[in-house]
Amino acid sequence: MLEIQHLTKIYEDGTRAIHDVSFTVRDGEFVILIGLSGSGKSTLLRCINRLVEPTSGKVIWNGVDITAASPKELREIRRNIGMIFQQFNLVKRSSVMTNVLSGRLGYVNTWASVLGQFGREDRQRAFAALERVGVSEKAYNRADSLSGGQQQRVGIARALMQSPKLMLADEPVASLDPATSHSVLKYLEQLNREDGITVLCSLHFLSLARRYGTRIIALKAGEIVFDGLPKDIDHERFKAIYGEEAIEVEIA
Amino acid sequence: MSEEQNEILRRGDKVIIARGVSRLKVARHRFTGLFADVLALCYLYASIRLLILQLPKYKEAVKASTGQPVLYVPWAIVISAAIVVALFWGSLGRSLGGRVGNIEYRRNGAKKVSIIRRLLHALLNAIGMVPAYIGLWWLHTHDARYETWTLASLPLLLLFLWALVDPKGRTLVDRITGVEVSLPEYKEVVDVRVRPRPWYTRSWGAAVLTMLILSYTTGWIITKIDLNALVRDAPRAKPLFIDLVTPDLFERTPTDQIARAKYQIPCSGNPPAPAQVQPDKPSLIITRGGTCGERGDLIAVRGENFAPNSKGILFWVDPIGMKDRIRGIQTDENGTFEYTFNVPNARGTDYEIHEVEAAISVPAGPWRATITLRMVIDKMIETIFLALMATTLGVIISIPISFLSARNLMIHNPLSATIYYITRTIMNIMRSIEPLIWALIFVVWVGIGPFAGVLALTLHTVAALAKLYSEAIESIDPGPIEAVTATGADRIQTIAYAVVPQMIPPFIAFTIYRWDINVRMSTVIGLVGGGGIGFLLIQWINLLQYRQAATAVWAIALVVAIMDYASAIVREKLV
Ligand SMILES: Nc1ncnc2c1ncn2[C@@H]1O[C@H](COP(=O)(O)OP(=O)(O)O)[C@@H](O)[C@H]1O
Ligand SMILES: [Mg+2]
Repeated sequence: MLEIQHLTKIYEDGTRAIHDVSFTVRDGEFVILIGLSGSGKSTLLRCINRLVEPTSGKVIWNGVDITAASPKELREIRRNIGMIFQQFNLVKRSSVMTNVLSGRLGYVNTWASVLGQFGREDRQRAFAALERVGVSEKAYNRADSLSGGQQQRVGIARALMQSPKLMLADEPVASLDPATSHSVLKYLEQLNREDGITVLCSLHFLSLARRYGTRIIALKAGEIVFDGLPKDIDHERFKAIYGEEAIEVEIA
Repeated sequence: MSEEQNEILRRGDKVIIARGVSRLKVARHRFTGLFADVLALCYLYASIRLLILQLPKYKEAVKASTGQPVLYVPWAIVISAAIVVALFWGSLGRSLGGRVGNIEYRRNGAKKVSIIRRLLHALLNAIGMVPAYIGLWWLHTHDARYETWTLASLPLLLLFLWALVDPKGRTLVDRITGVEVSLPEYKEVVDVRVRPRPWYTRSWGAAVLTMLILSYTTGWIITKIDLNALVRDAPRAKPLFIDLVTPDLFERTPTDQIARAKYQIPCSGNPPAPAQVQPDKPSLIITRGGTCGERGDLIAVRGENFAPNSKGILFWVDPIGMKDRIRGIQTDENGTFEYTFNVPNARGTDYEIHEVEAAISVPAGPWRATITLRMVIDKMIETIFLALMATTLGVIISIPISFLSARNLMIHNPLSATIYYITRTIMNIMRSIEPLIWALIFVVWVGIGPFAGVLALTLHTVAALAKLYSEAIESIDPGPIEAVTATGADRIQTIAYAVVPQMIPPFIAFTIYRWDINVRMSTVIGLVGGGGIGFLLIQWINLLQYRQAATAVWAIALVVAIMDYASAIVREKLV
């Protein structure tokens, strides 16, 4: 169970990105964060694994206060939380295999990993992860030689190497075309259903959110304006989240 | 930035959005602008003065005067005059400083400020300077040093300090005249139908143009450009060019052409038969004094069929075969020579047979490298290794330093930020001193030789590469770092997996670039005693041995070209 309590983030330049956000995610949920660009989705996700230090408030995961963790504890918590990104964030010049193996860094000896020494088990695991997302034949290609959809699947494979119990996804399909978007989201859905991984995913399009989410949380100017089932977002609520001038579009 | 600070002004079809700006920033921009104007005006004054001094009339005066400056205005007066002019310039239009500091005066948000108001603005500003001038005058009349005049200009500072307390960053004069300043933060929707005036008709543009023209004129005078000398004195360089195209590279090993003639001391009843001239073979015959005689007798020898125009030696060979040099000899264009000399006081018992030997040295053997070429090759090897050592050491040292001088890694806490600024400053200073000057220092320190060169080049390499590398670090994509951090990796792992792979291509490119520079530099570092080929080159030039110097020059050209080519290939393969 993931509890977010009164979380607030004010950046150094004074921008108040999220303000007093509280909600609880039960294990196995597929929660989708929606909101306009700049509404604080990325900030919220990054506060959970402390890529961004929250200004105040708490994040408690299975009884452990992440916000109070020491650097060492934080690394141990992080390795159980997978994360994928809008820009994939692969190391472009490294091979797909190296990128996937880097997901295992939290588990292995520092100096062995610096020298590139991963155990056979880890390599097999990496290959299995690539097979699962269907890009195993590209294992030894350079990461930037892959298409966007393939790169995002490598990103998922990298997260899978962590054997995560929670998966954070920051607009994972925003740089992809509709068909590829669906394929990437289906992998996330599969992880959620088959492996019981809790997913917290931010999305731009409401149609995708309705299709994949078991629950939707909407942010506006850093505050929660909706928290409920996808079917409960009606025309009124839509306007409240996206503004008066917005119209809903379908993603095929 | 909160909403309240933003301000939207509408005037006609123009919309001006003024975003909240800190007063400190306004003050900084205005000061930069004023400073730039004053600097430009002083520059204009200085270059015009220099040009006037070129006039014959003043040239004479300069020659005649003994240390007394001609046309001299105390600089305190020049600067204060410049400030007044700058104030007018800035108020009346768009000055150069207004352009540099991005300042413009407006009224109610619009650019249109009436000329009266502008004039008033300028005048009041100038009046604000009056206390400063009174102070200046006082100092002048009391024979005080002009340097203290800055004290008197405090009122001006106060005038501008007002801008820090005003909510809109206006000075006292601004408020009185109802003028406000605009800054780059102002965004303006400009009416596109109005064509902007071309830049050179604006006052700042005209100032820039004038400054450029004056700069090149003074530059021409100061560097004493003399095209006449370039053409007229060209023949002086001719022998140099001839030497340059005939470098000292190979020579043939000399072999000796030898011929002997017999001579008996003293004469017996049976003197040796005179030698005969043999066709096509070097021969030596005694042409005067016969083939026997006493020590001290005058005899003449004649050589034939030797190599023409060659040098050699004439020896006296005593009965046991010991040679004694008589004199140097030289053949004519027919390969003959004739010399007269006294029989030397050679050892030997009576009636023994002595010989005269002529040895003419001719370059007929196999070709071989000259000593010059061998020295050049030797020093060239030293040069390349000098470059190699300096580059390698420089790379090794600059890597850790580049991390210390990478803004994105160091700026986060005060301690590391301090380290960042200190390293950056040291590197900037070190980089601005040329390797040749470093070499001069190290030659004194560790003595003449390649080690001094290695140290000098290493130092400069460190300074240059640390900057290039740190810029490479600053421009890496933070995404992968974020992603690897999120997996639970520690700092070292993050650097190894997310930073290093991104740094490798620029790293290789910069290293090769530096290697090229170091090869070039190592060829000249010897000019000041830093080892390598330059050392030979400067010695030969000083001894006026231009053919030898030419050999070194060609070797440098060849090696640099080869290294350039090689690194181009490596770069293509790796980056
Ligand atoms: N590093 C940062 N420094 C300052 N402000 C930031 C930073 N990152 C994001 N912001 C600001 O915080 C707000 C929320 O941004 P973000 O969390 O990226 O929203 P979203 O992901 O929903 O687009 C925005 O106003 C954004 O400009
Ligand atoms: Mg975002």
